[in-house]
Parts: sequence; C-alpha cells; structure tokens
Amino acid sequence: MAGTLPEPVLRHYRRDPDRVYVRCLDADGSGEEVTYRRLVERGAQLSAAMEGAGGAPGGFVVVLLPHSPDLYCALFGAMLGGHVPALLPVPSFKLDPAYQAAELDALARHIAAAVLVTDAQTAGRLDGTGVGLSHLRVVLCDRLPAAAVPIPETRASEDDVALLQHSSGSTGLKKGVALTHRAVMRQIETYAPTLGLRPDDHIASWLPLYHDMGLIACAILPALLGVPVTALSPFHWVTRPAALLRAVDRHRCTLAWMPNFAFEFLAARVRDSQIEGVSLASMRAWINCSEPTLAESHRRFVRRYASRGVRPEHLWTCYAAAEATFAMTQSSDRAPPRVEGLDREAFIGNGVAVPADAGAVMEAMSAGVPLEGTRIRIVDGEGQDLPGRRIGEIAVQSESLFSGYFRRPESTAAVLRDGWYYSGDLGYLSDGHLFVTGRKNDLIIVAGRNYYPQDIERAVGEVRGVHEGRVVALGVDDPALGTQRLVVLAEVDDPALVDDLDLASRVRESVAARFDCAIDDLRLLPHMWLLKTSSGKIARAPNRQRYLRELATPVTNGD
Amino acid sequence: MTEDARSATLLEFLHREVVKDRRRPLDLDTALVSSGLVDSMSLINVLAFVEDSFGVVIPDEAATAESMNTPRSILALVRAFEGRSR
Repeated sequence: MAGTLPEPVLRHYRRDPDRVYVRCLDADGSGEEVTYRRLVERGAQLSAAMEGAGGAPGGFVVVLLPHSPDLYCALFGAMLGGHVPALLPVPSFKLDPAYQAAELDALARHIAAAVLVTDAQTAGRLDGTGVGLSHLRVVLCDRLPAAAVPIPETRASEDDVALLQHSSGSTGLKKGVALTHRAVMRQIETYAPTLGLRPDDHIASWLPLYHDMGLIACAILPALLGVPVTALSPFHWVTRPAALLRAVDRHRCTLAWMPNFAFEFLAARVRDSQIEGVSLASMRAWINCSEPTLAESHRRFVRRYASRGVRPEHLWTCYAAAEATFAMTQSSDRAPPRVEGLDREAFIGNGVAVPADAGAVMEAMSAGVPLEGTRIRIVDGEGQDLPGRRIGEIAVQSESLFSGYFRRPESTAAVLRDGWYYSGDLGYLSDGHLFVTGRKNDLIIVAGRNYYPQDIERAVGEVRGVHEGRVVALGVDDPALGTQRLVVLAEVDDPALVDDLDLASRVRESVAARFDCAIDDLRLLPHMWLLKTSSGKIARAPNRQRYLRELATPVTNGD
Repeated sequence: MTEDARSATLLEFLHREVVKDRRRPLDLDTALVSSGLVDSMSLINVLAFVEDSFGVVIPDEAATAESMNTPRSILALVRAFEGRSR
C-alpha cells in the first residue's frame, strides 16, 4: 500500500460505493450510515467549501464537530482536497467557552489555519465569548445542504503532512503531532496483518476522533481497509456503556479498542437488565490500549462477561502513541497477554523486573511484541541500552514515526533524536515482549486521557486565594477504577482558607471548566506544607509520598 | 413518594455516594458536573440510583451530563419519564 490516504478510499468508492464505512449510532439506538459514496461525495462538497472559505491545498483546516456523519466526511474531505485536517474536541457544556475559544484561537494562529469546519451550535457557543476568531473563515456543515460537486484530484504527495493530532500540552498550547501520508500508510500496512484483519471484521467504538486510538484505529484504518465501524458518541457511552454491548450484539462486531478504565467500567457498571439476551461471542479482540493495562481489570472483565462469550484470549493489549501514528506493539490471538509476577523490592529499589511468585509481588502485563518494522530499545538516562529486564525509558524507531511537533522545534528535539522517539514511558523487555511499567515524567492519565500536571497546577495557582506556584497535581493509581485519580494539593494564602468551601469550589470549577476533568481529592493546605527539593523547587515525588503517607485514605468516594 | 421526599432522598444519596467534597452542602440547584463536584463517570451511578429508587426508566438519549447537571434537573428527568417501562 503506497500513496496517500484518500487513494484507497477512492478505490472503495469506485468499486463498491454502497458499502458501509461507518454507522453513527444515536443515543436512542437508531443509526445513520456513511457509505463510501457518502464519504467521498459529501467529503468533496465539504472540501470545496473549505477551499471556498480560503483554505489553500497543503494548509490546515480545524475540524470541530460532534459525533456525526459529517465528522468523518470532513476528515476525509479535507484530505481529498489536499487540506490537512486537525480534529479537536468539541467544547462540552462543562467547559468555559471563553477559555476554549482563546485556546482555539492560539492554536489556529500557531498552525496558520485559515478555515474552521464546525456546526452552528458549536460556532454559536464560541462566538458568544468575544474572543476574536475573525482570522478563521467558518464552514458550518449543518448549513450546507448536500449538493453534487466534482471529486477533487488528490494533490498531496506521500511525504506531505496528512494530518495533525493534538495532544494536551505543557505550555498551555496543545502540541500538534504531524504525521505524513507515508507514516500513516506504513502503520496501516503493518498493523492490519498483526491484527489478522479479515473481510468480515467489524469495529465497535465509542472513542473520540481527536485521540489517536479513535482516529487511527477506529476511523482511518477501517476506511482504508474497508472494515465497517459502528460508532457511538463518547458522551453517550459514559452514561450508557451498555449501548456498546448492545451494538456489538446487534451488528456482530468483532474488534474494539478501549483504555483500561473502560474494562472496569463495563464490568462494574452495566446491569444485566440492560443487556438481556446480548451475546458478545462475535468479538475476537477487545484491545486494551492508551493507559497502563492491569491484568486484574482483564480478569474482572472476563468474569463479568464469560457467560456472554468473552474468553481470556479475546482480551489483547497494545502499546501506542500518537508520535508513532498509533500502535508500536500488539499482543495477538494466540494467547492472552503474558502476565508476570515481579519482586516489588527489586523493582522499586533496583529498577529490575525479577520474576517472583511469593512475598511482595506486583503484576506486570505484556503489551505484546513490536509490529513488523518497529524497533524498541530500553535506555537509561544517558540514552544507553539497558539489558533485558532492566527498567528504563522506551525508545522506538519505525517508519510510522511523526515528523515532529508542528512548529515546535524544541519540543521535537527533546523526544525525537537520530530517528528514535523517546517516549517518556518506562518499561522493560523480556523475551521480545514489552512490559510498560510507568512514566518518566509526572504525566497524569485519567480514563485514557492525558493531563500535564503543570497545566493543572497553573490553572489552580491562578485561583484567588491559592498561593501561586505552590500547587502540586498528581495522578494516583486506583486499581479498583483501573485508572488514575486526580489529586490536587494547593497551599492557601491565609491559614483560615484551608477550610474555605468557596475556595474549594472555585478550584474545582476552574479545573473542570478548563480540562473537563474532576479533581478527585482536593487538599487546601497551610503555607509551607508542600516539600521543596534542595534547590528550592516544589517537586511532585516527595509531595506524592507525603500525601500518600499523611492524607490519603483508602476509602474513595464516588463508587 | 412525594416530591419533597424524592428531593431529600436524591440529595442524601448524592452527598453520601457521589460528590467529591462531602463538606459542601448541596441544594437542588448545586451544579454537579460543571462544578467539578461530580465526574461524568459517576453519572451512571446516579442514573442507576434514581431508576431503582423512583421506579422510572430514563431513556438513553435523555441521560446526558448536561441534563443531569443539578439535582433539580435530575428530578425533572425522573418526572418526565414516570410511568414508562423498559
């Protein structure tokens, strides 16, 4: 498979235009189908509208659309016309629209995007904020009735940037991961045989497309290979996860990608009355990816759904990053992912994964083996190779690596050196299998979404009453939830404020409104509570220890 | 159950099981999700509780974070779908 991403899509369109690409399920269970005819013809129309709004080939187009057929059409439509799409999350009602508009404005200026593709409701939400988005010409999909326009000739070449994926950013501005057509094509080409994709496969998804797992595994891979997708809105899924299982049963789905917390969520929160008669026997792979994977979560999921046809070998694991397009390693259908018991003391004290079956044992689960053409090294702080079973940073080389963070040479140079991507993840190799064990930095991962602690600390520090610069945000593992909980420790200006409920509310609200994430445990603390390093900086590690020792309670509220 | 008893039952449950700051008093108009007091993943527990306690089935499409953002709006959902069965 060579060429650019639209080419295989155009082949499906010419050969089998009525084949279903994606079925967008509404919350009531009804669905709207996007065939390859609709994808290409509506895409061409949206592409023409982007061009009419001043989008030049090779230029960036920001796509801000909810779960809908037009989201998929805009993604491929942009590429069809040689534009480069950047998909961003639609501001939810929880988020402060002014903050969202300002962030969008800064991002659009950074990438010099000329066009914003959105809908009337989202545009209205952003318009009311008074933040100038006037440099962006807006295409409102829902005001653009279907009309026939010629299908554009693809103008991109293999080494052009195909799309920008945005991750959360440590500078307040999201970093755009630039991927070429060639990089994405190589990913699809190597990932498909690893998965053993078959003509009768069918993907079930509730994932958002602004995240690599949703975009690559559940939108681009299926479009290129002609694998149908049944997709739910992530907003719908979170209140009604049973809808995913009913969709699997109804449409005989075979594959799904989900972060670890979703396995726990489905195991604990779905009630039998919501899935009467539902069979999951059609599924051959539930792929656990994008946050640390826990063997216990797999066991709970299998116990809960064994009677519906789920077996241990149906639960796979994957190690992925947007910077490598998506998957770097993958377990397979041959056996469940390997699970090792490790000596806790050797692990923590010496950074070695020593197998152990008695005493203080911790579990590690394999993320599988590298994809064909992907090389993985485990390196120390100086970038030197470490032997097997030694824990170090995971470095990756493949033809699917990103070309850099767009217009961020310093951020790029920090992680991309001599053709290797230094992931910031920690892990070890054993017998060719990769085990991911943690993070080099303090990245917080809640329910599969990444948050940089410094972003949250800055936002909390700006709240009146909080001592600026004296805030620590931590992700604390919660095995029962299968993900991390967000903990914020904030010193207050005035000792009387430690019990101030209004201040606590303002802190919670500022984090919810900016990051769409709830603080699980917020502690307002007297000045000088937080520990400093010898160089006078507030460091997270010692304060994590102090929090766990002095403040954390084993009982969590909310479950 | 009277409307007042329902309100009290719901507020007591939210306070005991769901909110992330139990010191904070709740009233019918306290914002739950947009205030960061409740995460969206806990809403499913709220749904299960009101469906069981008040004998009502709230259709999937009606149960959103926005429609469940205050105790009052949750009670309005309950009223809107009373008498329906699954």
